[in-house]
Amino acid sequence: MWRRRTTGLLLAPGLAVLALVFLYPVAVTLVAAPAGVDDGGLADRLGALAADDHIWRAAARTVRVAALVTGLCLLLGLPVGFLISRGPPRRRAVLLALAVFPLLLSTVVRTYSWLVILGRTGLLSRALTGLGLAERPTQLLYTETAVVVGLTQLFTPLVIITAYGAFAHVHPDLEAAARGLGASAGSAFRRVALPLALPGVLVGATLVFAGAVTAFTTPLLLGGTRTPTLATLLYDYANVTVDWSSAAAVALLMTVIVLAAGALAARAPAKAAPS
Amino acid sequence: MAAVVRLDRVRHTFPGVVALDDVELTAPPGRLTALLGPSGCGKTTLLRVVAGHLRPAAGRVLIDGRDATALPPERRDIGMVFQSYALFPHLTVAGNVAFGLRMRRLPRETVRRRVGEALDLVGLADQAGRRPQELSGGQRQRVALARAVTIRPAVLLLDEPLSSLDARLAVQMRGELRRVQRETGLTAILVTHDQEEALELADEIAILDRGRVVQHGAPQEVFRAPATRWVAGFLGYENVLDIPGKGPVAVRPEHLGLLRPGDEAPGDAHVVDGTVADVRFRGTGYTITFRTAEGRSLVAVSPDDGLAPGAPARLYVPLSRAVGLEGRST
Amino acid sequence: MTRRHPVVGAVAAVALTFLLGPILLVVGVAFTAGDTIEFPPRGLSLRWFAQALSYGPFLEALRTSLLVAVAGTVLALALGLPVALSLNRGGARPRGAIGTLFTLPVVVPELVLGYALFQTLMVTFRVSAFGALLAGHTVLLLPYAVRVTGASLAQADRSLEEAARGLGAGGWATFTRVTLPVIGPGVAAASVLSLVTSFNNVPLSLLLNGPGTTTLPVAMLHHVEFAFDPLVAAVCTLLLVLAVVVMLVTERLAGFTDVLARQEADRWRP
Repeated sequence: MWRRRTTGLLLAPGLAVLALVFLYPVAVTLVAAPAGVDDGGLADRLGALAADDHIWRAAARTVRVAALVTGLCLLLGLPVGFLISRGPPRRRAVLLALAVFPLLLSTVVRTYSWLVILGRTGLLSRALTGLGLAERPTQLLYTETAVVVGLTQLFTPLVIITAYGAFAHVHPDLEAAARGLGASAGSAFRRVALPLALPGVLVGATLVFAGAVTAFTTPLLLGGTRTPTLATLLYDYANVTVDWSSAAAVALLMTVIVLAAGALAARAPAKAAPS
Repeated sequence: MAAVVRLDRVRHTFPGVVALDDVELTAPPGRLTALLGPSGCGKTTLLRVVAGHLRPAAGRVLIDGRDATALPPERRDIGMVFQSYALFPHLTVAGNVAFGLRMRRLPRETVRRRVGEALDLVGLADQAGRRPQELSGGQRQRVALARAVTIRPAVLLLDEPLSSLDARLAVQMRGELRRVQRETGLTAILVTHDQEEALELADEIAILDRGRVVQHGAPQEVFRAPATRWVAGFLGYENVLDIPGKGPVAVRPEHLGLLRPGDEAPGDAHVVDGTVADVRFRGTGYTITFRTAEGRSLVAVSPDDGLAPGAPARLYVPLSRAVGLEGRST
Repeated sequence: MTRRHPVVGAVAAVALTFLLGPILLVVGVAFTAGDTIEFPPRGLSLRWFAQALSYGPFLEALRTSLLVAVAGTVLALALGLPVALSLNRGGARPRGAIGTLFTLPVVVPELVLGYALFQTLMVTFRVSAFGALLAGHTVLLLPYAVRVTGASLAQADRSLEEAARGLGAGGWATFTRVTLPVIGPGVAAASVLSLVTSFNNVPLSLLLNGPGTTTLPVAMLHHVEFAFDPLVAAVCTLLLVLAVVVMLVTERLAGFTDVLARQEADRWRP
């Protein structure tokens, strides 16, 4: 058995750093005012929130984009995750490696490719003019659609991995049983595999939603200043216009949205989850 | 309703293994056919081919004369009880049993009635609202059975249905299984590695070894006259010895008789001399290993000990119990 | 083969193309002989690679990135492994609450954390930009260190440690000679995860920016914002190669996908 003192000594440095470099700064920035900064704290922040139409438009766009991205990621990621979970070992290893690989790359690298595709002289624009579908080169960048496309590519691997894990835990005999009882392949997936994998899939969806709400690089590069999200707005307030009160207000709003999504997801699957 | 299942030169391979080697087999209507064999003999693969979960590399599956080889599982009209039971954990007992009926888009009232009938049949009417994971092993097994028979399938497939139960319960459930099969009159195929289970339950037994059917017949016939040395060994004919004029024969341990000093062997018996090598207690009696003069090892069972290792002993083999092995393949 | 729905395969093919296609496109762009981001490339040349490898700001940023990633990983492990030990072996209570506390840095948006650290550490406490950057990365990596090593500890057979104690090993000897070797793969996995996470991070690095603390992704981001040449495409290609190497090495060392594959290898056997 361990002595209490040993346990305490092991825990203390980690806790101290966590408190000093995380808990204190975040708490102070979100709800109080740091000393030496011209900022009146929470009241000021809420005032800034209420007054600033800009923030609310960005918030609406952020949530809209994140919801759309979550849906698209599920649409693309679920079949891949399912396929991987049911494949022969060799195929499973290869597909899983391919799906995981993008996660090793910086968001800058992964978003950069869309500049090549969506830019005015990009692949898509030239394809459109080449096919006679557009008369002049089209700018597809700096639109909400571009942000959605970029974020979907960014986050689909998360759904693939979580869906794979969830489906791998559904015994294939269950689908075989459903098929034998008269369910088509699609029906067996919808009525058996999917409901059983739902808690895991929901975790993936929450990760994607939270990631899309807080994503920064992609909206910055693909959305530009014309389509600000909460993240790019926060950066703008903090670094460009140096409006610290508004920056803190946006930070607070962003944190609340992410935590709310997490809390909502944590409650939802209780009904469907098999023990 | 009961259908004939016929397998026509069915072949299937996994990387490096021939799982099914041109299997020919007919399961007659309304009867229970057991596929008996050790693990890895291909019996579960065969069942998955019949159910349609696995497409054979070659050969045909005929259900009631109709070629079903290319049919997906949901269009084969087959009820299957899985070794793992494969009960849907997100559905109640009633929901599990109703699943196949709902897939057939039967009216709500019909579904309700037939679920009730099926649960009555297996004695679980009072458990309808519970989840599978709240049930005992035996109860789960009954739910799986009810779910399979309630769709009134052409064929009932049972994949080691009793192997996840503890020994006593498994024996008890054999009767239940047999009763349900008789009452429903379904053609059934049972996969098992347990010869006692196969002998007790089946109308016919097919013995599989390395992807081939090596013997097929009535339980008594298969048991009394194993077709090959391998089948004889698999069915518990542990002793092989030479009888002058009869060649090599196989004998079960319980058919070897022990002669006391002064006892006379029955007329139609062959007598062997040897020494006791080992005596082991096994509850109802003793398992005794003998070493014969030619150096063979023979195993017999005896109700009392009174024998010590090293003691000389005489054994006799009733000729009617000796299965001749001459001319039989290994 | 078992029967599968054809639609599933089709959607999967589309999804993987969508995931990987654009990344491969960048490789094509990097080999252009022209001056703009363009695909297909206008002539082939290695000039942008040559330029990327001699471009001062990127080289300096790479140095910063590597330094922060390695130092942050070492610090996070040095702090996180003891925490994981105290939670999984030392009986620290309340275990759930402490565990949750250490996952918070990945729950709070990185941009918010970056802004908070900028405000408090750099503005209020006048910590240097590099100090703040390193502190930020350390605290961001701490959850991975605690969770991944903690999972290894939870999986490791405790009776091994009890056996060592019974054979006369003290607490420290048991840790270094039994516990650490047993959870070695977990520590390795946590290290790789931390290095990759830190090296690729943008939000923290961007907000905790100061003279000489620009990391590579931030330098690339700035470059892309203001110039439209294929220089970044060349860097992306080099990073892609690096990622492939990391993937292969971790696969070789930790057998990441292999373990997953073996786990269920025999499922379709008869």
